[in-house]
Amino acid sequence: MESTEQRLQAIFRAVLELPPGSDPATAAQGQTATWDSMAHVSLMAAIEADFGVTIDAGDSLSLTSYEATRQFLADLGV
Amino acid sequence: MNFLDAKRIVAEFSGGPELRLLLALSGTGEPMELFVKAAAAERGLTAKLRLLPFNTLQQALLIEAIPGEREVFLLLPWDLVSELDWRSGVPAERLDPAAALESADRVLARIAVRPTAAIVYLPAPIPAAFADQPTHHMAASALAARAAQAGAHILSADSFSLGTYFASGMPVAARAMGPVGKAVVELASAPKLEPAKLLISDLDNTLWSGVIAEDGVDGIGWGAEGAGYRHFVYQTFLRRLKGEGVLLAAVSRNSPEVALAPLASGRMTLNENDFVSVVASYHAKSAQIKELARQLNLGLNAVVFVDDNPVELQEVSQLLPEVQCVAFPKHDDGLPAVLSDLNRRFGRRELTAEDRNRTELYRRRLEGMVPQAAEGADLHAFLRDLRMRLILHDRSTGDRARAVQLINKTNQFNLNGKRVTDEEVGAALASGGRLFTATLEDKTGSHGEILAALITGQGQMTSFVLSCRVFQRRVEHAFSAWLAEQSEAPVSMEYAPTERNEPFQIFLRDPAFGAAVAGPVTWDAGRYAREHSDDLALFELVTQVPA
Repeated sequence: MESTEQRLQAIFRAVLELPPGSDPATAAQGQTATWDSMAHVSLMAAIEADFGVTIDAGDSLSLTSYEATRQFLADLGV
Repeated sequence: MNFLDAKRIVAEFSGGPELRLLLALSGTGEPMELFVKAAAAERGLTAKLRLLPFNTLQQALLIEAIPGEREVFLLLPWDLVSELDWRSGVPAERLDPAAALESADRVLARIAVRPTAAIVYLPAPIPAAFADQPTHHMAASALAARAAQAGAHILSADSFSLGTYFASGMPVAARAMGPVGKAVVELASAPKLEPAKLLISDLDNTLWSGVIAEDGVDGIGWGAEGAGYRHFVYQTFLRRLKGEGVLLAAVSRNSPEVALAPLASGRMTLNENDFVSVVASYHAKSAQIKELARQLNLGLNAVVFVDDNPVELQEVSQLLPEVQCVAFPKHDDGLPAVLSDLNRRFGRRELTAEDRNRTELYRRRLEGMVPQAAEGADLHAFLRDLRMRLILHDRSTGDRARAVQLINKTNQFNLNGKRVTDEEVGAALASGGRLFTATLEDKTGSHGEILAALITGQGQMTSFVLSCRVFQRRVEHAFSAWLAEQSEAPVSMEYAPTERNEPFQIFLRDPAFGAAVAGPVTWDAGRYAREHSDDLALFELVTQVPA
């Protein structure tokens, strides 16, 4: 069974199409070229679908890095 | 299906015929793209998907359809009545319900004239825009009813998430993207739906709860109580369809006398005379359905097939893509949606005297049972996708209660029908015998300990059983291929035909076995292992067996 961290990294890799060898944990909007507004929508949807959580509009705007997203899920007890 | 599942399905899909599709919704559609492609891949199709720019649905309705492109409109209440869009807030003035419904009719009429259009309607909650609560509820229900009258597939209201809609403009809740993608592809890949005429139902765990060959007439459930409750309601629904001229038939992996016993008992809602045919055999259901439709002179797109077993549904949809396959719900809560879906597929029915007698007319047309010689579909690709895990246990020591229970309750895939006591098994093991069992897991969860095999110290297999719950998954072949490579591989099997073990008799037709007559049947283990390595490869094998 994959850990939350592994699943989250897999989602970031898949949605942001990160190159092999890159570290998803360093991804951040504004620094990761593929993290545009549409990718952000897909990223939020993928996280909601895979972790069974709901991300409100306000939260969505603040989830601008891998670390912030990981912390958000941790706060939800995921 | 979650995001990573969908991603994997699309990545592993080797390609198939193109499905050119416009998914038309007013909100953000991009996150749905992956799920639509995955659902198409599961049906062997390569989706070429087009989405509309955000908030341009109404404009798109004024432009002609692109030839060769199927259109699926994913509508929400505010696509029918624009003032109801949550993203615009609540209207300052109360809405007139009559005007709202006129608006809905105008939108639906524009879709109705489009040659390939189908509608999926998501009855999301609407803002408090009407004068009072009764009007609010009436308007919400009337919008859904208007969509249903236009032939829409109606989703459950919880497929919507206001949070997601606010955050991204995407109206479909993330948890519902898989099912919505599936519904979209199903509508887009189906021929423009003509009302179906023939409903073919599975029997075990569909028309009744339980397995007739294992549980007997008194052990299955069809009454308005307990495990039989949803099957009772299903039967009453079929009774109504039949009364309105829909033809009913049944297919089952059983022998005819076993399958017909409950229907002939006179105790169920439906009886044998309600069916134009009850086809019972161990051959592929696709072959049974094809032959039945031919004999009834019906096109396959007039056929709806209902089964609880995803493997059977896949087999039929793979070989007969025109047939509309519907999964019988595994839980009571899934029943309303399934009955509603079936009702939709049979369309509006105008009753005539001929309708009421149609079953009898068609029964006369059919002569005898349907021959079922044709081969079924190769399900290896589908089975691989189940990500099955077979855990092999050596029960030669320790707890063997489940193994003994399985040997004594299994009738169909059973080497000889012989019942054993725990003491007899203990004695065989004390004389050098081995007792193996297997647990099956797949991506949907665990099926429990489903196989048992007892081999004496002299290398004779005296018991070999497999639960009917996992037929069609090649478990028996994979286990036997594994066993064939072990040092204690049996050299023969103590076989006996019984009234109910036809599945085992079919298993013994493999050329690696000697002639299947009562008594020891020889087994060329090496040949079996070689010829069934592909079955073994379907499983991740976990051996909890000492070397």
